[in-house]
Amino acid sequence: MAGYIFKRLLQVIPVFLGTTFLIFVVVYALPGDPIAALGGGKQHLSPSVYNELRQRYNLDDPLLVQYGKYMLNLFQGNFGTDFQGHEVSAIIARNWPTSIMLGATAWAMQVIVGIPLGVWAALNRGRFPDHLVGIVTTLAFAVPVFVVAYVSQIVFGVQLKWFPVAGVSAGWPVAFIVPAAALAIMGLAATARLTRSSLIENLQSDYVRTAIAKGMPRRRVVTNHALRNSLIPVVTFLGIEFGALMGGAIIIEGIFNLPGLGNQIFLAIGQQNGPTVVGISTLLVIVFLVVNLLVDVLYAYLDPRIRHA
Amino acid sequence: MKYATKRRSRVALAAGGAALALSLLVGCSVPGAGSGDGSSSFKISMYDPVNLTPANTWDYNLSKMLFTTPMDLDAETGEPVPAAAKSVESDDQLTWTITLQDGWKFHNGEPVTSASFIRAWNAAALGKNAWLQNGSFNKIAGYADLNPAEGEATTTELSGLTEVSETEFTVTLTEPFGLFPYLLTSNAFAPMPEAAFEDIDGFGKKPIGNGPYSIDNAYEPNQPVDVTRFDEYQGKAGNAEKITFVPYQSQDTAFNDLLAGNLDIVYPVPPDRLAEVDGLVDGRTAVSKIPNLNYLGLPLWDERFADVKVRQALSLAIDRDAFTEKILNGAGAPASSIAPDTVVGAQEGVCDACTYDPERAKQLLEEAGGWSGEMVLYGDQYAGRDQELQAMANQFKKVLGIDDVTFELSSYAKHAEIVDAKQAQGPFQLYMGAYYPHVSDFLGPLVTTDGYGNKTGYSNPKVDELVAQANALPVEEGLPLFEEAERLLWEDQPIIPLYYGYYTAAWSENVKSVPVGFSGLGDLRDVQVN
Repeated sequence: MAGYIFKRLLQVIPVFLGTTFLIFVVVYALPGDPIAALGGGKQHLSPSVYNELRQRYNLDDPLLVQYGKYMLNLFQGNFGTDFQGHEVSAIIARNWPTSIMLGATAWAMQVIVGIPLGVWAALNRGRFPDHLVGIVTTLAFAVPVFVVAYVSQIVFGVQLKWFPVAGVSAGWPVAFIVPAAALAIMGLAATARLTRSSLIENLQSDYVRTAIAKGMPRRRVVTNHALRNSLIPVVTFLGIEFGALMGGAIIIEGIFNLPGLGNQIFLAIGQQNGPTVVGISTLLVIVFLVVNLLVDVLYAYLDPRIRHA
Repeated sequence: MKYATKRRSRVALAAGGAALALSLLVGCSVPGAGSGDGSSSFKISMYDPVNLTPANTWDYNLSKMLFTTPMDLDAETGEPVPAAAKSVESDDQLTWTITLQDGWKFHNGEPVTSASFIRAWNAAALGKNAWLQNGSFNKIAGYADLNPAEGEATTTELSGLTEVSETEFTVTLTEPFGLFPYLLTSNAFAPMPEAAFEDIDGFGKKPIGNGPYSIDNAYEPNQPVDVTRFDEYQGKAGNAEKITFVPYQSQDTAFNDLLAGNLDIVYPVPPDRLAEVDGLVDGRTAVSKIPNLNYLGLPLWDERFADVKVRQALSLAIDRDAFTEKILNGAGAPASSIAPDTVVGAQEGVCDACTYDPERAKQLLEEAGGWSGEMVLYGDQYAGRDQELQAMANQFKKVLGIDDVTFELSSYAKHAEIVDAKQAQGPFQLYMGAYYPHVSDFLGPLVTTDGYGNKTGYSNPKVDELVAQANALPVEEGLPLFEEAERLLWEDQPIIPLYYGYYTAAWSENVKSVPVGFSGLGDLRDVQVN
């Protein structure tokens, strides 16, 4: 087991370097000059200010040198400052809690609603509940997230006034329910589908047939035998999904004006504020890698075959 | 429309005065009773200001509440009137004497003196500090020394600023400039207290201003900012005791928040919601005519555009009335000169070819030898831009028979790069926002040879000379020269004016009325809370 974890840890390093470099390249290769963009629509930065800012942020160095300088700082725990002089680590520290609350709420919705929906469909295979879940999940996949977000904002916030339209002043959970639901909807559909197909497969397997043949009550067969095994891929998916939810909130946080990391990236991309985009993305990569690692280790623990593969 | 807007703000002022008098009376006769507007407050949307050091931000509305500049724009006329200054005067338009109001204080109690201004302006003008509005100081003597093209600046002080006394200082410019009082209405020219320089980063988040309101909580990106009325303010006091500025990423969200009753003023209303605005906030909207111009620049470096008849034909082919009505939902007025009529020195209709005349357009293009081949229209990815360009393409097709019209839409920054590098091979869409509502700030940047917003490469020595001469004269004396310069300009038609964009403000039932002014929202001190 220790050997497996060590090998798995070694894999993280190239993946981390590769992804951060890619983010760096993409952000800095964006068309347009980030310093000119600071001038607002007025193209009115004086040449001296323009040159000073380019120098201050190493923008005249070759890309590899910029990346090297950035990584050196990063390994010392320094995320640098954005083009407006704000510490990126301070931005992260301030916006992190909102994103965690949003992501965790959405994640909980996926677990609490997604798994039972999948189980319900699987146990009623080919009957009405199965079709209903099939239609609802297809719809959830088909409608873009921002449409769901805008429509639910207008319906539940503006018209029914059940929830706040935007912002976090109402606190958790009230301020987070609608945005988290909008954020969760796609993953929720995926969870339900995955649970359904996995459970159906297991219900047809030999050991379930054996259990039924032995005369075990159906309820116990489903919960103790079939469901436990069926949830292994679902747990894997939900683990990775947690990382994805952290970073996937860019649109949602923008629409609901939640002061989270996604909102900051949204703002930073608009301002071409490279250091913030790279800093937050790098952090999300780290989160994603750690979660992935944990999921793999957990998986290896649950299923010994994986360790030796 | 213009008169309706103006009358509304005048009525609001009168009502405000009456209410204030009434509340004072009540306050006198019933000791201890809470006055009507004692706890009044409202919430208003804003763009994220990024930084609140006056010369290092593009923010306008919040900054105007925290700081008072030497001059301010009059809500009725758009002309500069004294604010923090008692007077700004000059005999030769070269050396200006600024006399300050007596007894003004910063929010920390520090007196506002000549030194407060000189200190702030020197810091803003120093290139090494890299403050965003550094360029606003380039007319003051000594600016070049603080912003050398190469190497380090040898000095940190503008040679053109001289302290005469605690309340008087002089500003010497590099050349005569009669519009200097207009410049002094810009937030870049606000004073800063001594305390600011002990922790300039902290000041950018929680500034100590000299304005009608003081800041309660330090600004954090994308977090609301609360301000409270500053009781020792010597100028016109605000009606509301507190104002909360709420930053929004999406104006749509802000508008929804207004509809749900969580916000009192939204500015601007997102353009795609204008059609529904009347039904949703009946009568609680006002249009502001910001000094701006949306236009097509023409690539004068491309020989296909060398003949002025071609340029005029393109301009004559555009039906601006239909355009502003159908594409913009009325959020703009057809442009027929370089500046909208709310701007001092504007001459509506002076651009002869800025009307819709398909017959003349066709004829001019024929005289010029017709058009052959492809035409590319360039634009940025601002919402709705594709529709705007599509509408123009259709008219070029329908009226002039130019069939092969294509688009190149790029991100804002990429579009700016294409235009700056003169890589456009066809008309390019551009927006010009003036710093102050005077025609000088349109002509100078857009069509003089060295203008920072001159993207067409247009150069006419006569226009340059007239604008330079007019700039050097006192405002009233310069106007005829500006007018002549603009007449010459349209003989060459280097740009095609399209429309003057409007912004709309909308407000909740908690608010009586919202004044709109020459740079967008009017003076927020005038806002009356119900």
